[in-house]
Amino acid sequence: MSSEFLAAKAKMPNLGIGLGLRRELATQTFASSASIDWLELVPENYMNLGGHARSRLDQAKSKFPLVTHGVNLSIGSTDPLNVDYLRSLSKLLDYIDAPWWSDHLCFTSVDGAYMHDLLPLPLSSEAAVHVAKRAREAQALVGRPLLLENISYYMHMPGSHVPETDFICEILERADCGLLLDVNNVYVNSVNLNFDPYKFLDELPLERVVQIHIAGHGRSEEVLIDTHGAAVIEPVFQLLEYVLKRCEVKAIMLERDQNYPQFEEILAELDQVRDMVKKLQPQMLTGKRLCESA
Amino acid sequence: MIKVSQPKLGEIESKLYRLWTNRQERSSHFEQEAEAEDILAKSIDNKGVKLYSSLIELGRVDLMSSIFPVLKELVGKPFKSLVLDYFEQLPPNHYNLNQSASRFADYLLTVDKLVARYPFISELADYEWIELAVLEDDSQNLERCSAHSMLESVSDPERFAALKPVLNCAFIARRYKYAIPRLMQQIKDEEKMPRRFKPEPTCVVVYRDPDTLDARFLEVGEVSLLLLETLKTKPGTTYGELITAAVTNQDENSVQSLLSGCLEAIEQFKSLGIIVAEK
Repeated sequence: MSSEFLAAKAKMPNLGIGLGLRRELATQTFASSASIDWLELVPENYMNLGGHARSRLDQAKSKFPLVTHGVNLSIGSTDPLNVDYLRSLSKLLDYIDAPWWSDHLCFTSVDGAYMHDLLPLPLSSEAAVHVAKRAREAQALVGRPLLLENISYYMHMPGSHVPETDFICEILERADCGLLLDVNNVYVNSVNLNFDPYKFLDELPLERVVQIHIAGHGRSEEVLIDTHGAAVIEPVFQLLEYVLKRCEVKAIMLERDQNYPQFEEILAELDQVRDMVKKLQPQMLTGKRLCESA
Repeated sequence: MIKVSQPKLGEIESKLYRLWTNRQERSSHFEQEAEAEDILAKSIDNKGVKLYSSLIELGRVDLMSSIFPVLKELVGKPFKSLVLDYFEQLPPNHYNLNQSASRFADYLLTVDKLVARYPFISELADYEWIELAVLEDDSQNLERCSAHSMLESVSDPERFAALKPVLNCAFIARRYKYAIPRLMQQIKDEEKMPRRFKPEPTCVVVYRDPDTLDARFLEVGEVSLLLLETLKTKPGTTYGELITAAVTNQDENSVQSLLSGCLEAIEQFKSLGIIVAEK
């Protein structure tokens, strides 16, 4: 089956190893542009906002390539697509000239109300068809390639009757969009739901992976929670390595959203990823970084 | 045989939304045994509902605690329940998380018991909210004209009268019934609150500092507030028109002091970056 998205992926730039732009880490992030290739930002924190947010965005734009990773597209909602949201997002994407944009395979709003949390969808054919239609519309409206991220989730959704990998495949193929593969989410779900994460990865359409997220997680009484508040653990690095051996990726990003360590620890984690990428996918690193590391 | 249909995606989302975000709905669901033909209710993962509802509640209380720290201090332990009720009554209708807090001051007016104890509580919430509103205001970050160039213009009265001051775009003015800045300080200082509160009209402006981009608060007099409100509602008004409006209908004795008060206020607004330019 021909895919416009896959043709587009071949032409997407290699961004390398990036970090999330967070208010609390912004000063150190901007001062470390030699060690960080690109930044990912949460668009809702910058859309139609002035003041410090705008100033931070301008600084980021002057130093790094940027892409957005949204939290409120609510692609799985049965509400109509929020066209105002997509217009504001498009404006931001134009401003930063993002090569792609991403959001989560979930719903965050229903009946006109936002929950501001990433909520799982029933793993059903109905949901897959519904999400794919909306993803296609959103991608067309924005006019840039869309990536959807596999989420971590903590409950069985009523109406679920297909394996998650089939669900993801069907959506990505029907919508002809990309996958933002979060390997920490795969790990967290594999522990909580007791499945083999490597088998899960084998069943995904890895050719559609453009970007990878890695992160740390925490533990509640009974389950692992995707907190982005701890160091990345070795099994997650191993999943990253497994994917890098199997498909070409354009960018990898470390998520750290709370419980911030010394910034040097974050840079050390990025270096660990960089070492792996140098061996497995050197083309992902920009020429400048390759020269520096040689 | 009873034919039962599988729940649709929309029904599933709506049902879970209610269970995740509404305490009453959740406790009813947990207490009652679902009827046999209610496939949806029977297939709900209660443990998961509890986990997600606690994550959503945590996020909501954290958000409101960060935007309304002084109000939280005043209300004490019931703050959490107040926040959850607010979100149940007025669910967030915007993708921007912070906007979820925009109607809290209005909501508080409906909480009779709280209003009876703290009649200023809605104004206090508004005072805390407008700080964020100004910080995030979408207007362009302005670079103010140098104080020197503006001061020069005052030396020529005719030229001064014809100048059109430009108000900082990120600016909000408020007339409160109560002395909110003072009450706020008392709460921060953990002073014992009186049993009754007397109204004490107070005019406040909040604006974004053009240099630091931080929010600044300023208590102003009624005339100063009028000047600024006129600039906000009628951009392009000249200094001459502003001052004329301020002194009109005043008795002759007070005109002179009013005039000098206006000039002093204008100078202060310029030095603070509330008036950012003159055309």
